[in-house]
Amino acid sequence: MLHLSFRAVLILFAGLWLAAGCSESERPAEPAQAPAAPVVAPAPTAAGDAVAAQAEAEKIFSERCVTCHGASGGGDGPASAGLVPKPRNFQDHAWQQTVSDEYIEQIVQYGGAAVGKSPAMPANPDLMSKPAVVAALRTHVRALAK
Amino acid sequence: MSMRHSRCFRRAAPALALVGALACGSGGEQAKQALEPAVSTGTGSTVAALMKERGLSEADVSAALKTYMPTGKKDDYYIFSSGGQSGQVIVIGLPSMRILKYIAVFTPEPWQGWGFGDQGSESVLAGGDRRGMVMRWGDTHHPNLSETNGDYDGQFLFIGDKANARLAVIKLSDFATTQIVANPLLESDHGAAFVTPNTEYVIEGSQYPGPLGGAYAPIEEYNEKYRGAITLWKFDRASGRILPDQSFAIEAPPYMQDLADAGKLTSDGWAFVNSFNTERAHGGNLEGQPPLESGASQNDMDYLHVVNWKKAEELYKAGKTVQIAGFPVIPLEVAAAEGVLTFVPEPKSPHGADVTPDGNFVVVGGKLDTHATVFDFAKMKALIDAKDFVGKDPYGVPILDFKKSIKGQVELGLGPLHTVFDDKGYAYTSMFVESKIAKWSLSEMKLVEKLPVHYNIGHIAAAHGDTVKPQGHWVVAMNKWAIDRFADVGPLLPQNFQLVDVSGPSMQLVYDMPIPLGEPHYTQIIAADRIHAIDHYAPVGSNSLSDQKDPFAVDGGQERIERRDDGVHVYMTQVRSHFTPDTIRVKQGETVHLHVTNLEQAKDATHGFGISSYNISLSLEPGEHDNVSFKADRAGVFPFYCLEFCSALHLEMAGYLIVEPTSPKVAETPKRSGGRG
Repeated sequence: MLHLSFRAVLILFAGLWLAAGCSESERPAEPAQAPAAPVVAPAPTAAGDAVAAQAEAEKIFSERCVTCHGASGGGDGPASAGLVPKPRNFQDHAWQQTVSDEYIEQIVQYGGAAVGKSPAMPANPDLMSKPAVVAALRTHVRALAK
Repeated sequence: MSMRHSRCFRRAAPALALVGALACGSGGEQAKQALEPAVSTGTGSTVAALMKERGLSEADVSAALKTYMPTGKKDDYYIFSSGGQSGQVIVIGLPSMRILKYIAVFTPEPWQGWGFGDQGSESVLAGGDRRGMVMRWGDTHHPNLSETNGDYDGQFLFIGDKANARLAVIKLSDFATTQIVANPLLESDHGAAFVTPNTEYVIEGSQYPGPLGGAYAPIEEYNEKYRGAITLWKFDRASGRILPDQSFAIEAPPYMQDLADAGKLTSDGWAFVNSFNTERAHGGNLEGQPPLESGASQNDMDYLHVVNWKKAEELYKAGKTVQIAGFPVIPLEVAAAEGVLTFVPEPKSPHGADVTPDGNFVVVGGKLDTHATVFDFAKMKALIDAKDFVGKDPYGVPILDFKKSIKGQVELGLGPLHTVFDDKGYAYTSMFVESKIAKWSLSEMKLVEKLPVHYNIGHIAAAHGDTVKPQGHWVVAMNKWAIDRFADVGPLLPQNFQLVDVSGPSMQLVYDMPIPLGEPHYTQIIAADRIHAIDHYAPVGSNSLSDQKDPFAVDGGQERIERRDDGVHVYMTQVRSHFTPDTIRVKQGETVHLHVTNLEQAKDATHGFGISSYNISLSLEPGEHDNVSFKADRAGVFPFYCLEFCSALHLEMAGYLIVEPTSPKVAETPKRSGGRG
């Protein structure tokens, strides 16, 4: 059952992608419609919250993201060699210009498959209830641009 | 009230107030009407309606609120329970009583990849083999947490295997077994594992006497040649290992040594070991002898073994030992003469021997007695120092006067076994025959209350309840029989753990938890903030036994297959959602050495690795590395795949082991037959 459910979700995402008329080009699409969680981080209620969210985001980046994207975000992490397509290079200034903050936050939470990209980029379901941390991760990704 | 308890209370207080209001007669009825519309369960029903619908009392709802843990909230305590005949350890959260983990120890366990090819776990399991016997099950009895200054420090857990006289070490950084040692002297143990206050030693007491060291002697020579032993295994905290070459044993008479406890604070340096069967019965009911259990129950008193382990350590270091099966043993006559071993009578067929938090007393429950007997360590020590003995046993061990050795006895009822302690000066004793917990005052030596439990309670545990600083609040009754507590599952029933809230003036039973794995014996309960578990292995490629990077660890991009003289070495990585390489080609008969690294560092990103028809199952937690060697002696095509649902493309995380046949016959397609053609 689980297998079918996941496949169904993937097919749904793929369908949405095609319906929007997008190709597999580098141009980012609008995020798929299915995920309903908020993607805009609320402003921290206190400076301490922002610091805590930033610290958690840094820890998460070092544990979850570096494996493929690399510590400097060059898409050259230790697991990148075996990945096709290669992990996104966050240092790519041109790419950074083409994607919205919402798009990055969407991928962080729902994974590559949610926006028609590689499913090798996994979802992070535990972050869907932590918009401040997601926002801090997006900030981190943005800061890696050369 | 501790911070932890305070948190629990704050969580439960509003709801408890509501329940109280709902159940308070006419005044309560008013409150009920006032509150009903405002308090909904979210399903359209009020709490009052749910209570009515399900026939729940106020006490029921109070109990539920004390144990309910909302999603995402974590428990205040860990329970580490023996898994009985399963050979494993069960980890449970308290107060929710949710099972958190089964730790594989003496028995292969495929989810954790324990004993299904991984060289690390295979080597740990093999450490428990002896005399050419491969043993792949255990009867875990008594878990003991490592201690610093007499309190749990949350670093290690030890557990004994009664069936095969073995001990295991579990490190609590990753909840994994790292060592099994087999006692070379004994065939069975019971008083294991019990640690000294700073975990200098792990004590293992024998159960059924026999010729030490695996020797043979006719049972007619039971009195002369059968013996027990109390082994002190040296533990090295830095390496996290028992050091057999710095361990020793004390020979004991052929009574059946039972439970043990180490002294603490005022009694530090001493240990106390129960015994039964001072009659030295050994069965023979088809040979004109009484059955063992009646032969072993003739005497009114058995002997509590009072062991000066510091003195024993001195004798061991001075070389006053003999070697039996290559293991140093302080002979019985030396132990008796040098004051290492002294006896004091204890009422009948005793079981628990539990040292009070201050170290001043030892509480003993007699299975066939109605009292808890409280031995006074200072009195016993004074008698030993003065050599004031009333006699010697047949093996020359001096015996203290019973009445001069005790503080007193407390009449509790039928079948007192084990005793634990809270933070208010109360003791809680399990009453097997009565199926009750007896709460009594240590200072007043007086029974306070009894609570029925269901049924035939064996051990009992309390939060930090056998340390120098008990935390109170919770007691767990470990009941041997469940009878009518759970839905029927056939004639083999689970055990029943019952959680009891002892924070108030009266004990309240709040939860029944079936244990369907084996018959647990003892548990220990430790505050959750003492446990500091990792959530991934670092650096990537770590060997979980050594916590160091494995020599065969594979870095991303370095995956390869190499043919060498000793076989085919496959250097493989895992990351969501593929193996690299995902195709392995070998020839039939070649030895395959798999070196597998999980490159992930994300929490919970565990990958399994199973090969069809080759009896191999690995679990690679994030960052972990495993090595497997096997002979590809069966030709064919064998899928391997990830055993954990790791991602949306988990099912696609697979590959093939292709074993090319050496004989053309094997390559032939099996003939198809049958059908309707």
